[in-house]
Amino acid sequence: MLQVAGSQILQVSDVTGLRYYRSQKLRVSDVTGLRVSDITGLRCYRSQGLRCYRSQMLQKRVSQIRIRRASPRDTLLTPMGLPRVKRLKKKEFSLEEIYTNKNYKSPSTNRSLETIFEEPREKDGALLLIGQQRRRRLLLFPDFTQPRKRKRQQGAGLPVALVPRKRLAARRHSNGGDEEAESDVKLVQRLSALEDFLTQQGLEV
Amino acid sequence: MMGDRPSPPSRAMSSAATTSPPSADKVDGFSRKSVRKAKQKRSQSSSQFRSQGKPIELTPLPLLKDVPAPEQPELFLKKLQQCCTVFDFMDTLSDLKMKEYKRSTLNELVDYVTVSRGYLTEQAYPDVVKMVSHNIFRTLPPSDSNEFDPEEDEPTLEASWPHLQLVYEFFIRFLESQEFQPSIAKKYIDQKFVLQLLELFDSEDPRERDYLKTVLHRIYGKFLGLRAFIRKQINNIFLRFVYETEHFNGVAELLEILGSIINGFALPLKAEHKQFLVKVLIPLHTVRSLSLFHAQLAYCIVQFLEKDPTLTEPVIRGLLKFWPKTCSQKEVMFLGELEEILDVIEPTQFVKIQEPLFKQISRCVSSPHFQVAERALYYWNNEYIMSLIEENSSVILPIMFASLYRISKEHWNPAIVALVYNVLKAFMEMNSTLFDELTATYKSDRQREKKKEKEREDLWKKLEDLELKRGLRSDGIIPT
Repeated sequence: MLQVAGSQILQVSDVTGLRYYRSQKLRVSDVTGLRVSDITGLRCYRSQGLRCYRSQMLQKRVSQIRIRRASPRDTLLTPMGLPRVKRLKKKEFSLEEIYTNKNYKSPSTNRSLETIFEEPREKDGALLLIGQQRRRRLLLFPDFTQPRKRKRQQGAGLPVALVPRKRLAARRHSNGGDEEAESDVKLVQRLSALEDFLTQQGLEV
Repeated sequence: MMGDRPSPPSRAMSSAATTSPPSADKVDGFSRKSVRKAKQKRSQSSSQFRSQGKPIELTPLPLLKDVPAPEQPELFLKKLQQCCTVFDFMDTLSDLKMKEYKRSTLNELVDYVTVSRGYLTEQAYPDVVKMVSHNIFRTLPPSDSNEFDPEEDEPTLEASWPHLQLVYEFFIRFLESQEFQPSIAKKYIDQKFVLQLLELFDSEDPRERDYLKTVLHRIYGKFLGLRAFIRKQINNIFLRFVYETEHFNGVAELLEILGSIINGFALPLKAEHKQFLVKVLIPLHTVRSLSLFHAQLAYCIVQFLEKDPTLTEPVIRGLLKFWPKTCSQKEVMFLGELEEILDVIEPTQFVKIQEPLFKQISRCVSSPHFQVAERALYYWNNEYIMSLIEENSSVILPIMFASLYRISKEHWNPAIVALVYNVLKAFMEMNSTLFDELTATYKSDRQREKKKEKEREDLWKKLEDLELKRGLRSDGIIPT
């Protein structure tokens, strides 16, 4: 049974994952002051002919509701039972926060270092020990599913390597898609022939 | 109250230091001590000396900007002296007023060092080094857990950071100051100093390690006389890490510094550096926590190869030797690094290692772990690698064919099977004659295998029959 206290916008402050309801300015005309503290048990009570708009919303969005037993913000523990540390996002910190390391900020990942020359280089009469240019000393692995551009042109390597590739590429694209389809057919033919042979002979793959 | 304890903190946990007989400690294989440890509250740790309970009194000095220029150098030294006083951060609230005074003094010193001219007298050098040493050199607090995982766990942050940060900031600006003279400083920034600095890289606080990285980078750059020593000590740290402890929090930072050093190596490369690559950097790939510093390690490796391409063969052979056998996540990392190496390989080098390389790739492609198989198969997405393969297809295809065919029939993951089909197709287009030859060889190989199997079975059967006959003849009892 619902407690009807007055006409207001549905209060959903206790419920996480239902903020979109608020943003939709959901109005449950006759249902007010509704506390939905347990969203897995979201129920829409129909009683006394109350129309609950929420039920319509529910039907559309139930799969989008993230089921949580309790609001994650309330718990002081991580799932492992350790105390949850909070990182404050502020510009100015109070003295207490400074002295208890609440103002922790991860060191910037942009920190880069200059090259250090093993043999000092001469420049304008002065001896340079450290280079000017700063660089990140990390190898950032690119997304391997994307084809990559060759970074450096190696003088001796390039002609030898590129020519056969061009041959293959040329063969492939000379006839457009037909060439491709033909290849597929040929491959399947060969592989099926092999498979048939093995099956006939009672051999394992 | 903590102030009652007379002795300074060491690596032992405070209350777990109480003894109990070792035999009673084992409960179902888990020592009681470790269970107790897990339940203990994580104390906010500062490894600095705890004061004896007496409040520290520092006489406030005037601000540097408020005294005339000739008096500033002396005032500077006095402030340095004051900042040698170390506070107890175990108790956050103790001596708060004095802590704040020190903090503002340190701030002042940072600014002074940044903008001033003519403040760096010879006397300043030992005082600066002394102040920095007093503050930063300390026994690091013990790790709260043996299996600290920086990606999952919160690091133990340094409690005295409000002061420590400013000391580091000050020191860096001092080192970078235009007036800084290494020839004077080297009397005070010596091997002992550097050794203690290196030990601090084991700090769990990432901010501290970040500062240390900059400090060491500057010291290495400016003090030519210390370079060999630093390299040697880093070697020792890494070797201990790899072969003894597998614990050290500062590997990534040290590797970043090394990256900037390797980038500056003179050619031809010295033997010492090549030794380092083979004896230290390659074995670093074997540790379990590789993911924490793989990006930095791979950078160093590729830098070496760009300096001297003839090192490619020993590097790849080294990686193949240490190829992960039980950790699929590492296998994927290795494959990623290998692709970066192949991306810059010279064809003459490629030819030298293609056989053992593709034997391993063939195994990866057949891996039941779909991420490993996928990563290996995506090598065929790399134009340059494809061109190298095509150039040498007569060698590579025979190595790969059998596993590719088998996988196309047996692998559980349809995406992998699809990728394998593409690879087979590419091979067929490269060299269809060889492809057909290999198909024929595959058939005859399987036939031969079957024949051998049959022969073996027949032999066993014959032996069984013989035994039976013999048994029946002699005593009528069938032998079992």
